[in-house]
Amino acid sequence: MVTTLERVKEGMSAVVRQVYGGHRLRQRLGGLGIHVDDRLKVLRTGFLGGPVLIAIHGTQVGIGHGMAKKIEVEVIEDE
Amino acid sequence: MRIALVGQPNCGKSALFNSVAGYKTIVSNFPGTTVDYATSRINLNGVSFTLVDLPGIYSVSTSEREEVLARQYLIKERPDLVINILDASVLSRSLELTLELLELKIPLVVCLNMIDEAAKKGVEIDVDHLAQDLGVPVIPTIAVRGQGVPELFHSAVETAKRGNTGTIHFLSLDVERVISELADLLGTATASKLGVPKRFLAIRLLEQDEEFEQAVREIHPGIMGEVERLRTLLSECHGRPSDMVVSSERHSLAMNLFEHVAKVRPRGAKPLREQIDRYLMHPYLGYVFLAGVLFTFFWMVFSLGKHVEEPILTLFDQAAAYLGAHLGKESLLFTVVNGLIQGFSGGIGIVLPYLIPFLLGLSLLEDIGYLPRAAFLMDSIMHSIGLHGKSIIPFVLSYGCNVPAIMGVRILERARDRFLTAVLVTLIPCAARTTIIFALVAFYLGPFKALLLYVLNLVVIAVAGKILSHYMPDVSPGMILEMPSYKLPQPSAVVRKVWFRLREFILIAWPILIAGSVILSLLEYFQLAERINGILSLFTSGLLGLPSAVGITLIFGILRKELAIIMLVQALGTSTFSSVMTEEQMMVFTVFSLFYIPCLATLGMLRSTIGNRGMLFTLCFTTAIGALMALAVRAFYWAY
Repeated sequence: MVTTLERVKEGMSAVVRQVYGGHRLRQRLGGLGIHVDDRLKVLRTGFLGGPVLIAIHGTQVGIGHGMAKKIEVEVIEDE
Repeated sequence: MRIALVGQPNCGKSALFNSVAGYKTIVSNFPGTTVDYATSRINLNGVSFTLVDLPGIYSVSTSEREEVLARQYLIKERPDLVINILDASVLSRSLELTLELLELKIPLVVCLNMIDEAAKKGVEIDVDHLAQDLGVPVIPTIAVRGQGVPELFHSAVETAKRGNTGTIHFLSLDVERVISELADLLGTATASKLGVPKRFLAIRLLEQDEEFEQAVREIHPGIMGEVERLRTLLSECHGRPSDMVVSSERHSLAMNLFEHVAKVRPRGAKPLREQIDRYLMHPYLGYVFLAGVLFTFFWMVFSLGKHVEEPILTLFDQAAAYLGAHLGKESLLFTVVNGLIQGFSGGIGIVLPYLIPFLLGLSLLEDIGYLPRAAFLMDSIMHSIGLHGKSIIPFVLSYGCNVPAIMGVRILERARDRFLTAVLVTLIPCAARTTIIFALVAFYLGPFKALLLYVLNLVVIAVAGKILSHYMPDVSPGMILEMPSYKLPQPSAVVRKVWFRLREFILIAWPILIAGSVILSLLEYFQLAERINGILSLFTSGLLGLPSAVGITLIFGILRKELAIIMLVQALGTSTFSSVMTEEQMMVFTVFSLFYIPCLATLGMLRSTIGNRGMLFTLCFTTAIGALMALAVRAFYWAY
């Protein structure tokens, strides 16, 4: 299922498909090791427009709600 | 010899610096900025060198100001060697920065830090293999315990002498073709004018680096057409923007390197951080805990501080009384001495009881790794007024005293966030302004109206935040914040951090407090109160409708806020304010005192945190808000 990061349910894993933001957003995500085709796990979803917490490459990153909306992911259904 | 420490945030860079740096460490600002870096002279086994601790950078490709400054330092100041510190527990990500640094061709040593954390995660790293792949020495360390640190610096000094710059790693063939074509077009001459290898420059341009693009445009304006053509070529072949092509390639290169040198054993037990975070980052419990932390912190600093402050101030008052008796209360000498004592004791009265416990608490929260969690929890609320989630800490503490709160804005990484937070926290009623609200409004007009003032205050702060962030828009794409693992704070690092921050207050803010205090004593001595009331009367009685005698009290309020109310007794000749002031006048006076010019100690702190211009701006901004709100209150009473 393809969706945006802020909609992924807690505890689900997903693969990054696209980053719709500008150059700066890509840079920032890239610096934290987040690239297209990378696999991540959503630890906390931002309720009420709060940020999303993901686990990726052995570390955890909080991503603001607005940013998360610009990251398209494919949810890995069966685990 | 100059050695620079470069690493991603949370890699243990400061721990490494602290484990060798002496007390002669100098903290300096990058020219024209308030972004600082630390340098220290080190003597190790007879070899001496200067160690530079640069701000943490995730990547060389960045538009974040702090990170650009760190990069500029590497290029313009060109240290003799770079020690690249890696968090071994997130090796694959950390290697991306290493690959970028290798392109700079500055002698390099890799410090594989937190090797114990990696082992705990089940990551086993073949150090020799990694050193072979990178072509530079790789030294495993546990910097917090000083383990491996002597070997690291020994190797660093040796490598700097040999000038070993390591192996360049190539990307896939078609990308390399584009890079080398562009590198040749740019030529060594252009690149060396910018102080970088031509391959590095070509990669920067393909990654759409704004700073290098502008620099190249100035030297070689004709070439940008070619740059565009090659960018388009790359993005057409790969179906994504050229910067993404290059960074993804580097990413997979780093992942390959990682798989080459590391073995990951799956682990059964959940790591401790996950268990802690289940509660601390919980959507409801997390806030309960955050409120608890903030409350405890606030209570510890301000209720304990009060018990220490009172005896100190009494001691100085006694000293002043004693000197007054000996020098003659009316003499000019005593006036100056008394002013000095007041300013001096004001400083001591802030530093010992409030600043030291505050800075200790803040450093502890910082070093444990709780601050990013607090920022995460508060992100959406604070963002609605254009601030960062971490700003919540200075905000809450500001209700005690603005001075430590402004010092606390240092925890924010970006200059814009620091500026906005510093300006806005000065609007929060500190303990001294609370005294004014209580003595005038709560006592004479009832607690409900006092509460109303607090609500009004929050509304004003939210609106001011909105306005300021409209003129200083957030250029970063929003919060992207790494949650580091929890760490046990090191006492020596905490003490050092407290000392550096304290030193700034002592050297920059305190002198302002003392000078201001002497000036006010002289005003009193030369009986200029009447004159000042006269000058200010156009504003105080004309505009705000207050008795003109309050002019001088507002001036004293700048020295220390509670003086406004103490001097009001003196100026009006009574402590029963209701007999000489109407309800409207009391409200207007309180509202104006609530917002106008921060006290001298706060101004001093502002100067050291956001510079002279920032301080002047705050002064005008808060006075304008104070006047505007006081007028609004007046209009309200006039209408009803």
